[in-house]
Amino acid sequence: MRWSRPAAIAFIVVWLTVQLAVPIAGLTNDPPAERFVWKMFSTSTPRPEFVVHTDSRTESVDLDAITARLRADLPLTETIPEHICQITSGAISVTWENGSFSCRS
Amino acid sequence: MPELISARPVALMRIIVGGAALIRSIGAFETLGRLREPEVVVMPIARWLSDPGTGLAVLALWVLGAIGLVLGWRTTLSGSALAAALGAYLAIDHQTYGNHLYLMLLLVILLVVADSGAALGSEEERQVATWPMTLIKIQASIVYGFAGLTKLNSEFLDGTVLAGSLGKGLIPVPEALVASSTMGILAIGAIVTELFLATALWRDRLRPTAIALGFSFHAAITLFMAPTVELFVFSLLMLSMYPLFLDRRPIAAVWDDDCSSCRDWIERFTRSDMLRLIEPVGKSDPSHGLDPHDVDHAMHTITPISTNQAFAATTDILERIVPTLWVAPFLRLPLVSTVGERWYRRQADRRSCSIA
Repeated sequence: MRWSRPAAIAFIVVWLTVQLAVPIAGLTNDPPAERFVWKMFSTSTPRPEFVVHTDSRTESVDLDAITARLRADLPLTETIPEHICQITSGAISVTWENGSFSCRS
Repeated sequence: MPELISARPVALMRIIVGGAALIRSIGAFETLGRLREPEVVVMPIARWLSDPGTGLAVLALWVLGAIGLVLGWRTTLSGSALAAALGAYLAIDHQTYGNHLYLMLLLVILLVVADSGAALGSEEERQVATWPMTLIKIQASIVYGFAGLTKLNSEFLDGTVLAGSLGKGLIPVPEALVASSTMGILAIGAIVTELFLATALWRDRLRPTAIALGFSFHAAITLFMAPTVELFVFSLLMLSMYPLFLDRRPIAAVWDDDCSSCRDWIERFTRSDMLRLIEPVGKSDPSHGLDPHDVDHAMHTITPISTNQAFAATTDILERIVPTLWVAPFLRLPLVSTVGERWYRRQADRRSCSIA
């Protein structure tokens, strides 16, 4: 594949701009981005502990068992509670440190 | 900077990246399988990609593209297929993202742009444009640079992050060590290493140290941290870029062409000289400009920055051939080089020569 000089220059400029701007923008965001910024093993995000409440019992949820690949940057509180409600028979609510989700809403 | 350069380093990189992609495809297969299990949560990014059939097509494209890349078969097509598969895989679900996969995607795109087709097997020296290789090298510096900079936070610097990550890999770390202040020292060491690698790979004099340090760093994270396979793939990708940093000016290996065992050694070296960085010059060839009596005693190398002999010359050669180039800089360590020098002398004393 032969690249003309203008095409090569355009590619280089776009590539470097994206590769520098994305991490800089991501890391200066509040909260800082976790993806595409080469942030690897730099902070430890505590995993939220979900507890499911049914009519008869209360038990903590094993996140490894219900995720395909657990990462610190997953939108867990947005997706996990509803999912727990769906897979747990008789679930009434799901709670975690800073929130709760009603399975009957 | 020349506009064209040998395609050999980028062809070697292509094979390693293709191999890493093949290894990682097994994990992708497992993750996509998990996403189909009813108890597993899905967090789709592009819903149209979440279809099971699409997942299988992505995997097929991934494996075929990776095989094509390893073989150097229609690399533009194979690389584009692999890049498309990786891009689609990353967009299937939030759980499929990985920094190593994002890096793989970027490197595959650059390999396609670099026209990294078959070059290692052919005797003819194929030339490719220099600028994509420079972009690949800059990419290595970007990854190391940002990886180091993002660790400049109190949580990492006091060792908390490392204490929570070390020892979860193949080799456990004693609890006492994890709990001690050693973690803080290791944390600073990790940052210094990453920032050093971002810059030192570009410098002729610092490069051997950088390569040895980079190899040790990647070996350590792969062995002591988890997930092992993903860290192994990430390490392969980073280390695959190192040959592109090597000085492309060949070094002269001046050897005693009266000596049959010396011939065996020089033939062994030239067979592994995939990057064509070694130029064997017999003692009888006056072009080397060295005293032939000196060459009788030991092999010499003439590099762009120095002339070395005996074990140091062997190290010069091993730093330029595959697969020793990633580990040979360790031979420069004081104790190792002393032992190596003795070993070299013993070999030289025992050598059999056709002409005494």
